Amino acid sequence: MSVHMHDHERSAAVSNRVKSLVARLEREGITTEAELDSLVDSFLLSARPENGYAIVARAWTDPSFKAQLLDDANAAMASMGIDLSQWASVTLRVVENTPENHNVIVCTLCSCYPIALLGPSPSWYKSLEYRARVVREPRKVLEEFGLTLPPQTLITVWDSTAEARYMVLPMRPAGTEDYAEDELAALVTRNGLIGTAPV
Amino acid sequence: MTLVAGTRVRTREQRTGGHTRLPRYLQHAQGVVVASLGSFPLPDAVVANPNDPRQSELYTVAFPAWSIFPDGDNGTICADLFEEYLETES
Amino acid sequence: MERPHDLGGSQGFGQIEIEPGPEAPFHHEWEARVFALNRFFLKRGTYTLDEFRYAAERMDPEQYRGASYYERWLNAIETLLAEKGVLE
Repeated sequence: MSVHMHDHERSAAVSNRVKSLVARLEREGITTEAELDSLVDSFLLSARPENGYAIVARAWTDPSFKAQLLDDANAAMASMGIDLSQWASVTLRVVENTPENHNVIVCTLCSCYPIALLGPSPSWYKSLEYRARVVREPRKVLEEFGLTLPPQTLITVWDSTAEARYMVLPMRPAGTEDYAEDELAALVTRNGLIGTAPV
Repeated sequence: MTLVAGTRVRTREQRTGGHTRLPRYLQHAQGVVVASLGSFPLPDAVVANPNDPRQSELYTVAFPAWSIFPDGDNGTICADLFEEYLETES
Repeated sequence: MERPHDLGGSQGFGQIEIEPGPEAPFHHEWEARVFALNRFFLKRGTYTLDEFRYAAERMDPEQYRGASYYERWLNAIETLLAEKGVLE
């Protein structure tokens, strides 16, 4: 399709801009390709959506952990051995879905996301469309994701405008009473942690 | 000044020019403080003076969605807003 | 002053493009590079996160809306490296 061809050409042009910028930085002795690659590699090793899945599964099975998670998520991370200190001072906040209230996260001004915990956000989260629309018409936006909430469930939209980063604690699906923690973790999705999927 | 949870606040007008973290759609809005997040460098001041910006208290403020978007959903919008963006309602 | 980044509640935006299935952290090698560059300069103290955001916000509004996410990042990095005198 012509639109994609256009995107492809544009991407190639930006790629060349990046190459020449990195080459200039190398010539100036500021950084190297290898150093930049290792930054990304080490980041992706520790910042993964799986961290979020494990946290949710723990919260579903351990009421005292869940209480701590909702009260002071940074402390709860530390108790799971997850180190967020590699990133700038981030206050993580976890908000719980209930039958009465569903939470959904956005950053209307840029694209703030708990990146140190979960890795880069999905592309749709960074899109102008999502950032513009979800505060005005969250129910309609969620329906586009295939998530139709009962009319009596109200929606809270959290606009991450400052230092805090938000993650949703989805409701534990019915019929999972016998599941082990790792089986529960396997049910959670990245969209569920943002609030655009039920789990 | 530290605002306690439950304090009714009104957001100021969005500053023109420069950098700010008060979104346009939340200016002149009435809400309630639901959490106090501590003191941080004020982003508006950071871009002007990165080495010594002034600090400001940061709060989570909840707004009834209908009061922001009368044609929108009947839920809540929460945002983290610096004290500089807020005035208290008497 | 127009603030192209201040999008909350703006009308006229259409359908959100959602990639089916699990999505890779980066779609192009250059995106990872740009991500790394920003992380490098933030850690080094060349600029703060707020200065980075402000640099992205100062993009020409039409350019801002036409650019991809990491293209906006690249613009901001280039702007700041020039302003801070890191690269002339």
